[in-house]
Amino acid sequence: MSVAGADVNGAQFNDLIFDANQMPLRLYLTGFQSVAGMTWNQRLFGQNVREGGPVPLYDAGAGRSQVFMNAWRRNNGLNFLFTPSFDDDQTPVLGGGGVGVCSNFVIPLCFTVGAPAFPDNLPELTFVNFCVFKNAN
Amino acid sequence: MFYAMHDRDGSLTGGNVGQLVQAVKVFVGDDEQKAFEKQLADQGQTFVRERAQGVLPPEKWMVSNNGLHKRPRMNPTAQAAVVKAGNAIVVLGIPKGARITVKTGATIIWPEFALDGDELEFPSADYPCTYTVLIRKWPYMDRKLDVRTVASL
Repeated sequence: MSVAGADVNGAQFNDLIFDANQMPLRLYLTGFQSVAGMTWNQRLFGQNVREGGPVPLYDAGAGRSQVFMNAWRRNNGLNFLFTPSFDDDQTPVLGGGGVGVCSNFVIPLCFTVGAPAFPDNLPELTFVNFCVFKNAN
Repeated sequence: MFYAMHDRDGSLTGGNVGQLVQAVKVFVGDDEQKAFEKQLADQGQTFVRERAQGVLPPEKWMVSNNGLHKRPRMNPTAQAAVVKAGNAIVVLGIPKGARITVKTGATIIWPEFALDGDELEFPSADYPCTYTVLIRKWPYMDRKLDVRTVASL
């Protein structure tokens, strides 16, 4: 990922990111992105995930590689956040969420499903935390 | 510097004007900060910035009057925190139009529904347990109330 020319197949994590010959990774930014989810009826009729609209993130600039890490963030109503998971039986929400990052856009992955009482409404927003490192000063 | 992008007209969140939809805390110097802001502007993003030490969570913060503000608290109260099993559970002071979910443990008793009035009353089972009422209403912070039922008071 941040090591040029490395063969990803069979490589160890440290070989790709924390190679001693590379510039050290530095935290560039940390933040969150909302993920809208999908309706109860969309799931009922066979949809497992919905691709959200792409959101511009940032351009790291020439000579830099971005490393993205993200984790689903779910609030239980008391501002306790849950660790990443696909499903959460602590809230009345099915699913979870994620984001993909490509070409400097964040693309929400909407697993969270709305309530059966409102079958065509989107659920409450969930959020995905992410951070971005850079491999140059 | 902390940058927050929000729902300006409710179109992204189903009516939650001011809801934070994306935010980042950027760890760069002044020069790169200006470049970052220019990039946001070039992308058509409108943002509010604040010199915050960390990421301000969307569960507690919102944008209004072009500034970041804490979301207001709602003050619903259970008529009694402990009731005798089989008796009614009453929650008062709920904002009108709030969405309610009732569950016990991990079991959802009532999936989310919209409440017309400001008071919720429902019967409890005739065995001891704890009911959790989750109340959501924008722009208030979500609120959760627990009511325990016991065999005898």
